[in-house]
Amino acid sequence: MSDVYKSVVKPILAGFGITRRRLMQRRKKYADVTVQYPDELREQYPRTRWRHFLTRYDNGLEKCIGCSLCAGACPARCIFVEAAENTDEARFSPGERYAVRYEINMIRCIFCGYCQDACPTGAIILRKDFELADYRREDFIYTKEMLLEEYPGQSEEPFESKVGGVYVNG
Amino acid sequence: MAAAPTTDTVTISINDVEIEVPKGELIVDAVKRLGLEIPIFCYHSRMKPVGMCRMCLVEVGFKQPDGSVRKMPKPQAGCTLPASEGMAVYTDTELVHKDRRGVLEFLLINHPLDCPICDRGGECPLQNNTLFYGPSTSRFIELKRHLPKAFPLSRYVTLDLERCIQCGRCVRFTEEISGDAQLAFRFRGANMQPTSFQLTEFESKFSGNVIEICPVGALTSTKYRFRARPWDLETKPAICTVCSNGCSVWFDYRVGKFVRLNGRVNEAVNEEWTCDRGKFGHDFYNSPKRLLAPALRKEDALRTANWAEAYAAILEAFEPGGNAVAALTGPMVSNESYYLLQKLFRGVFRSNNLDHRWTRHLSAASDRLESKMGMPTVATSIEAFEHKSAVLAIGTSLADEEPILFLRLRKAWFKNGTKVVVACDRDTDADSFAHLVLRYRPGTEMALAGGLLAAAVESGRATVPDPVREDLKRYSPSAAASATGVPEDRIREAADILGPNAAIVTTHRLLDVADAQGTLEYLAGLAMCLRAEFNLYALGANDQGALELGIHPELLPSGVALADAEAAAEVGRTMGIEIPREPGLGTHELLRACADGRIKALWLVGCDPFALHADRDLVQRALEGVEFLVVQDIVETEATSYASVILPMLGPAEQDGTYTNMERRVQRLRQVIPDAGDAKPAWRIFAEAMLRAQPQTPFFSAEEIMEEIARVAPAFEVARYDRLGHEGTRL
Amino acid sequence: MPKKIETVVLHDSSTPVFGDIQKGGSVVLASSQTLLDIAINQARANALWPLTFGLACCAIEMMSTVASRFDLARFGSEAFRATPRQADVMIIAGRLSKKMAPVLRQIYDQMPEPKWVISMGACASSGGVYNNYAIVQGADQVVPVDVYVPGCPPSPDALIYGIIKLQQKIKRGKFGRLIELQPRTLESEVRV
Repeated sequence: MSDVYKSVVKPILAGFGITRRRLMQRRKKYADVTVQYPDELREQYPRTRWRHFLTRYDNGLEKCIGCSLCAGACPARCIFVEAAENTDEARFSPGERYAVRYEINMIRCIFCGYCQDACPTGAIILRKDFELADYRREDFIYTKEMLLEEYPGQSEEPFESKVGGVYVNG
Repeated sequence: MAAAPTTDTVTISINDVEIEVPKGELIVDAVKRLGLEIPIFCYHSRMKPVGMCRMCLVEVGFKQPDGSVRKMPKPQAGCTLPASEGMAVYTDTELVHKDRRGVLEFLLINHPLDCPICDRGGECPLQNNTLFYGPSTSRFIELKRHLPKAFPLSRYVTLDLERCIQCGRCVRFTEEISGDAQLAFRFRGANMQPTSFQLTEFESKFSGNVIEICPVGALTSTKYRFRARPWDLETKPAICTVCSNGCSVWFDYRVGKFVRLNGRVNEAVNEEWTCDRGKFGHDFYNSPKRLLAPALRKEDALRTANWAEAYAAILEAFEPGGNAVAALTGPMVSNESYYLLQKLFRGVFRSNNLDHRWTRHLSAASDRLESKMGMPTVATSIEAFEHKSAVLAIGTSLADEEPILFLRLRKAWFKNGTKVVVACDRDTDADSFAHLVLRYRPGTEMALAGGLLAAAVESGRATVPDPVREDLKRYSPSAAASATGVPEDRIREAADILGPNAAIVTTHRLLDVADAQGTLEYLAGLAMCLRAEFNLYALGANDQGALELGIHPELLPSGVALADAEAAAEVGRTMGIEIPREPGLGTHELLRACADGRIKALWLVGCDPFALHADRDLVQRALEGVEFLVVQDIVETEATSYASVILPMLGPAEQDGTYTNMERRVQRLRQVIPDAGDAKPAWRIFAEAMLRAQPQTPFFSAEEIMEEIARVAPAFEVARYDRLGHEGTRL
Repeated sequence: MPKKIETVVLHDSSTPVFGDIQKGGSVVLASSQTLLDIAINQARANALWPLTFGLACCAIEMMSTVASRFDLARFGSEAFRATPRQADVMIIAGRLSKKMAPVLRQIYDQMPEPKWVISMGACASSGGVYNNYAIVQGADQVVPVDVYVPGCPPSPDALIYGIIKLQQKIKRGKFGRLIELQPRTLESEVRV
């Protein structure tokens, strides 16, 4: 009988004891082990690369000149660029050429950032907005309208999480 | 262009490796034998070297008797230096590298480096050479030269003077190759600019080539401007199907859309050049008027239908067969499709009412030069023109009708001194290098041809049978001179120039003139008497193939005449069908029969009669008169509005097939561009129609059809897909 | 240097949870739902048992999601099951080769209804960089995918966002059949 107590009951009680102690400690000692996403957002590493943005110059003109270098550098070939010529009546970017269509297939993109490296004008940047999951395949073709920031500097601003919270885009 | 080729060889050493090269070969070419490369900008192997860019500098020395090498004090331009005995060339020394860096830094001083927006970026020799041989940085911090950008030099060519590195390739092309000398340099030094005279429009039939040979983005295509970058494009080899020359080209397409066309090297046909008509003439692939789905006329309106309905309607209408049905074809259809069309008509509809000819004069089978005089009408290959001593081009403006042949003739004159006699009723581009120009009055071709033959007979160089001699009295040189307006001595001189190593060139354009048959017979006779070669070249991409494969009311595939009952029956047995005995109608008769209502159903395959036939009124009456009209085409044409059924057909580069060019060279065109919409290859349409009419094993690929063609027409044995080489094969 | 992010607590027990479509872990209401729908969906969405289907590198992130730092147990999904009979959601983590595709389909068929699929990462969703003969260009060619999670690989928070999206999807619909004893296979579908 004492064997049963020693080898069964006592370890079980001891185990529950640890559980009880940990439960007590949880708040104080282990509170920051788990990232409480979506209630809180962890700090992303500085070079984290997620969603793309097409940026603008301070005067509002698009930085993108439609040169397709990003598409050439892309290892997944997920970028499609179609260029056209600027006219004095319809001017989108400085210089002769601008992108009339700019599409990224987010579902094929591997967020390697080569497009950002290849871009001669610094037009495309990858920010830390990682909440990209969606239900339908078609929704992952991000068009130029979706990628292009509405006003200069918009892409630098902190974003609100889609499930709550504000995080700094850095 | 190297110095005159000789059989002598000399021993030179390149980077201390001894090698034997032909004497006089340029160093820039000689190093290629060792797998080395000298960077170049201005040098082009088909043009004379000028040594303008200094990119090809190498160190050169000569072996001294004591075995040492004495180098020249300064580096030499490899593109202007012919190899000579004992020469020692060094392409990889410190000095050479320093020179190359210096030259590139110098060239880049005024180059705007707007590579990201330049159409040449990605396939630019300046970019490549800078990457491999150039300095990584520039020391030039002053203001660059600024000139107007994107100057429209012509409808096709845009000039960006800032990017020009003054290599002179474009200027030399227009002077040496195309001969129109439209571009020239103006100003000097750093301000030198290649432009057209007084910045007028750059009018050339070959202007597209300067876009390709420009080593920077100074001359770019207006049509291709900003449409894609080289890495966006898929490039596949193809054949140009705009005219009958059958140039080898590269098709560039992007997401299934044709984007541009570049010349592909094929020494036997186009070397590497293209004409503007071909280079910029493939817009129909992206035309908004493309036919993409079958349509059926219901209640007086054309409504989209499916293929099954279309086939059912066609087979019902063509059921009477015999003389009540007919088909007319255009030039842009493959050999395989032509063959199946005639098999469908002869085998299923029991009709010989087939024609591909749209010229005013249609030779009857018995009148053809082959059967009447035993004279082949296509004798000379394009390549062979280079070695002809004399060429008579009559009744044709070659630069417009056979542009690549024009370039070959010009090269023959430029390099080998071929004497070219141009006989035409209007100014032609070939006049500029012609030895003799015979400008005759329109409509007097027969008199001129007779006059030439008579002059040859008079000079005793030709002998003709007596009846012909009698007949020729009408056209003694003096009589011909007064009839045509060409001076008599010129006619005599032209006849004297022609000889055994000469060729007479004319095109189907000559069949549009009055007395075409007589003119052809005199010309063929002239060639026969002088043992020269006679060529009557087709104009449409595959007109020659249509003729060879029996799209003709009286001829069967392989040129067997219907009148020859035994041979015709034999051809029918090989094809597995019974050949109808009654000869069909030629194009004009056929259209008249349609207008009269004798023909109930007409099938137009890739042709718009309004564009091809001279008599608009007749065409209109015919298309209105015929009860059932099938229009099978790539794009919407005037004829489609009359159609009872519209069948969408794929373009040449959207399907597999072979094309026979004017010199009877069969070349394969593999599918390059993906299928457009619901359209089908022409051969598949015919194969499916045959299958629906009679249960049989259908053809599944163009290759299978070519196997059968090779059995029926033995000449095509060499054109079977496993035997067809890279350059194509002449039949 | 990026700013240190202050922890933002979004909703405690005092935050209203009904009808707020934006907030993860909340109840989502659609007009056609009955109370029973809400109750059953709530139960289903908060106890999604994933199937272990790690095919490549994404699986490492998937494992990391279950570990203590991201702790998928907060969403009731800690119980990864190695048998399809006990799993609710299949997380396809990694490139799906053409040889694996029939296996994946069979395992999907063996899962009892209701079942869901998350396609995790670029390769599973579209083939990613592997646009070649060996890789299925998107797992949705083989099984119906409910949520696609882009990334190469998606970080644990991105996957958790995908799971939240799936929960929202489950909560929005009607509950359908309550329980299905016989796993639905292709053959059984044909027989029915």
